[in-house]
Amino acid sequence: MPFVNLESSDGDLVKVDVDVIKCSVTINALIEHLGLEDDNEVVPLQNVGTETLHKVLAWAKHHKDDLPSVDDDEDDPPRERRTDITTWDANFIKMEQIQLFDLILAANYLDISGLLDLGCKIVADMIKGKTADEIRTMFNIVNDLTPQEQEQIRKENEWCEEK
Amino acid sequence: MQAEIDHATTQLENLDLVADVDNVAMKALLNPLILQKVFCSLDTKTLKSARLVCTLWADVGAAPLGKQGRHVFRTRSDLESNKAMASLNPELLKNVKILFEGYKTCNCVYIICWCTPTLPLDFVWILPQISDKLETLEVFYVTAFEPIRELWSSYNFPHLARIRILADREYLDEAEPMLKEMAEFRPLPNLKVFSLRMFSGCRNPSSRAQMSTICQNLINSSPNLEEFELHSTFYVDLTACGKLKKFTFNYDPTGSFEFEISETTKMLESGRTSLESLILNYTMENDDSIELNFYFPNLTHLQTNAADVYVLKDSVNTTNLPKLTHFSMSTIDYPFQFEISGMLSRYHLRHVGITSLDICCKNHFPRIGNNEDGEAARRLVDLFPSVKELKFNLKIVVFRDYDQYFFDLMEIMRSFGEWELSRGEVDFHLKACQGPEINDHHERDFVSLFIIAVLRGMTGWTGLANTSLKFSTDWRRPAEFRLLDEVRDAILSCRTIRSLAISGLLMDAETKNNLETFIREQNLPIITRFNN
Repeated sequence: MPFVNLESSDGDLVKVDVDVIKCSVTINALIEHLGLEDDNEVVPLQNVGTETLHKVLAWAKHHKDDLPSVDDDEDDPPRERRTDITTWDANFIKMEQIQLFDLILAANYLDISGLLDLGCKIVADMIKGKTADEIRTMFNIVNDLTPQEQEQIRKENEWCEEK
Repeated sequence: MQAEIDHATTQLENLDLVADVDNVAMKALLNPLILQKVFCSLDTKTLKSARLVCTLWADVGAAPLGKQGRHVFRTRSDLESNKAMASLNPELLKNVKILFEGYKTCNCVYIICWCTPTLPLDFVWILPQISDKLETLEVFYVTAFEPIRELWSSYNFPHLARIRILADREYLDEAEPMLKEMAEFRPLPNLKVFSLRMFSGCRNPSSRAQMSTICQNLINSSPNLEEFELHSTFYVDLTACGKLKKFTFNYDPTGSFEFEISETTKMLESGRTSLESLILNYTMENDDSIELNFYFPNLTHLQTNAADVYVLKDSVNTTNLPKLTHFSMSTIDYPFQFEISGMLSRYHLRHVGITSLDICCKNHFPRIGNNEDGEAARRLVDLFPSVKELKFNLKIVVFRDYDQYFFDLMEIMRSFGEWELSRGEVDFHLKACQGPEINDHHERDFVSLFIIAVLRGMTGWTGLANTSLKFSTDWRRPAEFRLLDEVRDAILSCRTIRSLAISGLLMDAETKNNLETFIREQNLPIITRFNN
C-alpha cells in the first residue's frame, strides 16, 4: 500500500505516500489499527485542519530520508540536545504565530518528534531572555500564582546555579 | 460611513484573530508535553523566569531546571543553608555539588578548619529526600573519609548517573582516626560516569589505602559503569564493571610512591574485553620511560598524553589492537629539548587500521641541523599508512638557526602530504618563553618566513578543503607580519584550504590594507587577529 488518504478536520482528503508520512507514529498506528490495505482507504485526522496538514506533509516530504532521531528523550540534559536548525527548516517555519501553534499541536497529535522539536525550539527562541511579565503579555497567559507562591518559586530558583 | 463600518469590521476581525491566536497558543502552551519540549531548549535564566509565569509553568519547569542547573551546598555556610533549606524543592535537586570547604565547623584550633570529619547535618536532613532523584553528585575538596563512606553506605541513589570526587588535601583524616573496617556500599545500578581525582594527596600511605578502598568499593557497586577517570597513585580492579567503555588513568607521582608497571598492567587487563577508549596521562616528567604491553580486542580510541613517558612500542599493532582507528600522542609540557622523533623512537610495528592520528608536541625544541623530525614524519606515514584525519599541534620554542628550522618544518609537512588526507587541523603556536630577538631587518621577516615554510610544505595535500591551519603566539613583544611576495605565493598555493588563522602578530596599516585587498580579490578563507 504505497499511498494513504488522510482526511483533515475540514473534511478534505489528501493522498500521501506512506513512505512520506511514516514519521508520524499516530498515523502508522492508525493504519495498522484500521487494517488499511488499499489506496482508497481513509485515515481520519480530527485534530488537523487542511492548511496545517499540507504544512506537515511538506515537512515530512523534505525529511523522509532522514535517519531516525536517536536524541529524542526529554530526559537528556538540555545542552546535549541538538540545537541547530537547518536553513530549509528555518525558512519552512517562518509563519504567523497562529500557524506555528497549529503546527505544533498537529505535530504533537501526530507524534512527529522532529517537527515538534522544531516548533518548540522556535517558541523557546521567542521566549528567550524575557521576564515572566513579558511572557504572559506575549501569549496572554493569566497569572494564577499568589504572591507567596511567587516568592517561594523565586527562593527555589535561587538555589539553582548555572552548571 | 461605509469606511467606518469597514474599519470596525476590520477591528472585529483582528480581535477575532487575536482571540484565535491566544486560543491556539493557549492550547499548546498549557499542554505539559509541549511545554516540556519548549523548556528543554531554554537557558537557565529564562527557565527561572518561565517558572514565574503561572502554576503549570512553575511545575513543568522544575524538572528541566533541576537537570540544567546545579545546587551547591557549602559546608562552611551551615547556618545560611539551614535557613534556606525550607525553600528547597526536591524536584529541582537533580544535580548536587557538595563543597567540603568548612570554616570552623569542628573544635580544632584552626580558624579555617579543613577537617569536616562527618557529613554535615543539613546533608543528613536533605539526602533522604533527594537521594532517589539525584542524577549527578559532585563532592569537592574532601578532607576526610568518613563523609564519603557515609554517603555510599547510608543512602540509596537509584538514579545517580554521574559521580565526581575531588580530594584535595595532603593528608586526609588528620583529625579522625580511620576505621579499620569499611561499611558495605549500597548498589549504584545507574552509575555511568565516575571520576576520582586526588590532587597532591595520598602522601600518607594509610590515606592512600583508604581512598583506594573507597574507590574500589564504588566501582564494585557500579556494574553498569561506562566511563571512569582515575587521577591517583593507586590502582584498581575493573573486573566488576563489565560495561566499562572509556577509562582515563592519570598517574600523579607525588610522594614516595613509585609507578608500578605490573599493577598498571593488571588494572588495564581487568578492563580488557569491554574497553573501547583508553587515555593514559602522567602529570610530571619522568626520567625513566614506562613500557606497557597490552591487548584490547575492542579498543577503538587510544590516547597517551605522556607519549614521552609511556612507551607502547609492541602494543600498537593490528594484533594487539585490532579495532584501533584513533590514535593520539601528546608530550608532557616541560621545558627541555623535545622532538617528535622522541615520541616515536621505539615504535617499529605498523598499524594499518588507524585512520585518525593526533600528534601534539607541547614543547617543540629540536636540535637544529640533523632534522630527526623530518625522518620521524616519514616514519609516521610509514607506521600508520591509512591515516585520513590528522591533527598536528606544535608549540614551538626556537630562538636560533631558524632558517634551518623552517626548512626542516617544511620537510615534515611535505612528508604528511604522502597521506591521502580527507581532513586536517594544523596548529602552530610560538611559545613566549624564549622568543627570537627581532632586531635587524632580516629577523623582522621571521614570522613571514615561518608561514611560508609551513604553507609550502602543505602545498599539494589532499583534503585541504577540510583542513584548518592556525598560527599564533603569546610573545610578550609581538613579532611583525609582513606580506612578502613569497607569502602571497605560498597562500595561493594552498588557496583551497578551509581556513587560515593568524593571531598575535603586529602589522602596520599599509600591510593591513594590502592583506585585506589581497584576501578580498582572491576570495581567500583567511581570518586574522593582530595585536596592533
